[in-house]
Amino acid sequence: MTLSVILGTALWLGLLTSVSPCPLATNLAATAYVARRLDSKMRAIFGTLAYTLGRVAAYAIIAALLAAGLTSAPGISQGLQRWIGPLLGPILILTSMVLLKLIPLPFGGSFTSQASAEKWASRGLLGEFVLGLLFALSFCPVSAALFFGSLIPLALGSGRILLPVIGYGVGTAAPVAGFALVMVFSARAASRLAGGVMRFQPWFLKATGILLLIAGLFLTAKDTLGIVP
Amino acid sequence: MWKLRNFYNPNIFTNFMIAKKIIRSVLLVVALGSLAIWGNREFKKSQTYAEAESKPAHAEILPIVEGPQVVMTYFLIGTRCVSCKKIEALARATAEQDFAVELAANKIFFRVIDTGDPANRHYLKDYRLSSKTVVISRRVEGKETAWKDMEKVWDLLDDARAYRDYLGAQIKEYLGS
Repeated sequence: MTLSVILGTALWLGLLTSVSPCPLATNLAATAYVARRLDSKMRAIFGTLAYTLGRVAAYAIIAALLAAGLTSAPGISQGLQRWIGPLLGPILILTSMVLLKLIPLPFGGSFTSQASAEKWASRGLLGEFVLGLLFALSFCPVSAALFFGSLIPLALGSGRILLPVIGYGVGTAAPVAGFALVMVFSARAASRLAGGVMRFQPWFLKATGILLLIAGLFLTAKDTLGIVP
Repeated sequence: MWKLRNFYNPNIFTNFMIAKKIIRSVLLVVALGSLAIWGNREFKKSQTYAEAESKPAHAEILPIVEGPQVVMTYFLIGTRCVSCKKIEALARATAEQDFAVELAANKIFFRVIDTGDPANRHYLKDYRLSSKTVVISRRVEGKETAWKDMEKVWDLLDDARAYRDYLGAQIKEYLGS
């Protein structure tokens, strides 16, 4: 199989994963989070790159563990589905509370310095990276089936493990990154007409916080408490 | 009576702060409380799993017929989703509509197994399952002689005909027809 076919298949599998209904809530939350900063185009672009990188890193770590024989595909798939999915909802609720300024940023004295942590967080790179990593690790049935059932055999069979994994990660992040950038650029254009980007930034952040809160409450009810089918 | 000046009442700011505190407390209780409930549930579940794994798996009671028999199993793992329901419905339709005669004669058997049930945990290891899937197995005189994880069901989900043909081809191969 040629390199372009492997990469194309991996990208397609990634896209197939991200457009399925299963990760809809997390994709909506990610789009809102990545698009929350209107004040800088570069910040939005780097934010989408950080989110993509977070997803790629998660898949690369799993693929490396599998390739090294440190774990089995069924074992890690079942473990991640059992342990990470139920944590997502409460984490999103806490993140939304930070965005809505209900609780302060969770960086205490353990970080090298409060100022540098806030600088990273305000640039949106750390948040996006962690969000991408976490959402990629929270396998739902579709992503588990396509990643462990289709992508990993393809990657291991091709002898080039990293490349298909990167392609898959980019594919899963592409719709979120694309929509987030469209949202940022259209909102910037609209807000310029209506009186300036900075005027709308606080409202955009509040809307993101509310959207994340709704997604968090939904995921908590569905995956953590199991009260929504 | 409500008057316009109430809007400028300095107490409104205090009320806003109180409302903010209440919302913060409620959300913290929801987030941390749900984690505590989930953690407690998982702890109990792991105890039940450990107990179930220490016991031998039950013998399966399936009708035995002469010649090869095909068992098509839809395995439920983890949370339910729209695509998962579709996979189950299409697998069921394959058995009931494409192999109605064989199904009536018990040459084909369709079943749904929830691996969340402690008694069914052994299937995860037996068939090396990583997600919800359909497994087709061949049995002769009640003993399993071959099985296949039909993992492409996820890729063919939106093409019902291709999906049913994919399962149908494997069933025919195992039935030797």
